[in-house]
Amino acid sequence: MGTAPSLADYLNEDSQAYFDDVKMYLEELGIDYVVDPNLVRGLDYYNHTAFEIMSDAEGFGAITTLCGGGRYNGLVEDLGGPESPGIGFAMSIERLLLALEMEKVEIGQSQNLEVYVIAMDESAKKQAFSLLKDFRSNGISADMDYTGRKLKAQMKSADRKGANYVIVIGETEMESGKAGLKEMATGEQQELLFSEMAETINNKKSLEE
Amino acid sequence: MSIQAPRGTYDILPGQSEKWQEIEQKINELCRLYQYKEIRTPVFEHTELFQRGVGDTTDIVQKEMYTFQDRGNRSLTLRPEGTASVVRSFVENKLFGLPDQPVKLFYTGPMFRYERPQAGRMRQFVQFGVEAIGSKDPAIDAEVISLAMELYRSVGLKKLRLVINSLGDTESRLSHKEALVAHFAPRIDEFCSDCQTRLKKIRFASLIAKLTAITH
Repeated sequence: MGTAPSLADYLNEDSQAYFDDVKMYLEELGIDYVVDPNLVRGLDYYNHTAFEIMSDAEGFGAITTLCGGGRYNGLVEDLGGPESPGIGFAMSIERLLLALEMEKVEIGQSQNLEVYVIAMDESAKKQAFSLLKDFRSNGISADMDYTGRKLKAQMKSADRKGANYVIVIGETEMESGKAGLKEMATGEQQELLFSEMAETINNKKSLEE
Repeated sequence: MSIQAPRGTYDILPGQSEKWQEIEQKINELCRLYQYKEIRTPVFEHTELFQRGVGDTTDIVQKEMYTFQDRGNRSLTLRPEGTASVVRSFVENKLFGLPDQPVKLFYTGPMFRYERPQAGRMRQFVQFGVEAIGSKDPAIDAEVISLAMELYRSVGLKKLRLVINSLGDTESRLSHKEALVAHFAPRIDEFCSDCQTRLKKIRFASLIAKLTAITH
């Protein structure tokens, strides 16, 4: 059918000058680009600048376009507003995640639980429950068991959740009003009043920072 | 049998949702630095908005929209993209009257297209987008492109390629369209019926534009 007429050959002086300026500003920002005269946008209202960002990561399927955008001078008027030229882009977050996978970049590591509180019996549970509230209102993440498991199962659970500290409350602790705050990484244990625990943890946190 | 999520949709579970949260944090931070403000528009709009704003002849409008009648017999459509809604809101809320132009907006949210699902293409998917409305300075084109590139870089992507082109202004596009129609018209019968309709519409549109130009 012969080569179809290319848009690049039909740009008038203003359009060419506009395009040259866009390229000049991109160079100013140190952003590399490739000009592709075949790049068009699917939507009717685009004019002047059109762009796409593609992933060159290996293992991608047929779809490598991550982001598409461009200028629309005229859309605002088409929708009943005064002349207001615009430019924008849209990118799919799903494809961004796919690109991260292809480039083997890990993001979004979940934060460790700070304190896991273990209660040995019903009266200790009440104390544990109020301790949770104390921690949480002091900005410390805290959790406990809600399925009536034994000590050993609860220790395992604390481990799975990656708890930084574990507190075990039983009869002795209820009588003394003190319990051991065990730091899981070092195994060190510090005897503290229930009322001192949140502050102690926050002090340690600020020392680490 | 238990009920499953509809075809082309999926759940984001703990383990994955942390990734989404991190991306959203990066978006918020970057848009703050570039001074784009968040806009949240409805998930459904009048169908006519997309017919006019996206274009009657596009695949999106012709084949991919989730369109339904509500109980008041209005034709509504789950948004297939974000720009039309943002511009509708810009006009409806008279943002063109704000003293500081351009108005720089961003959005993040679910979009809906009836497509064949495959990796990276879902029927409900999430888009992040920005719109800078009210300026035709080429510097803002570069700013918008730079924001997109910066987001990818900030999450750790390196293998990126930016492709740009100019579609020209109305005049340039019109003369190109005419050249295209003239080029393909002799063999219009060889095209699929969709393409034939589009070719004819282009012809019609360029005729109207010409007449308008003359009468003005």
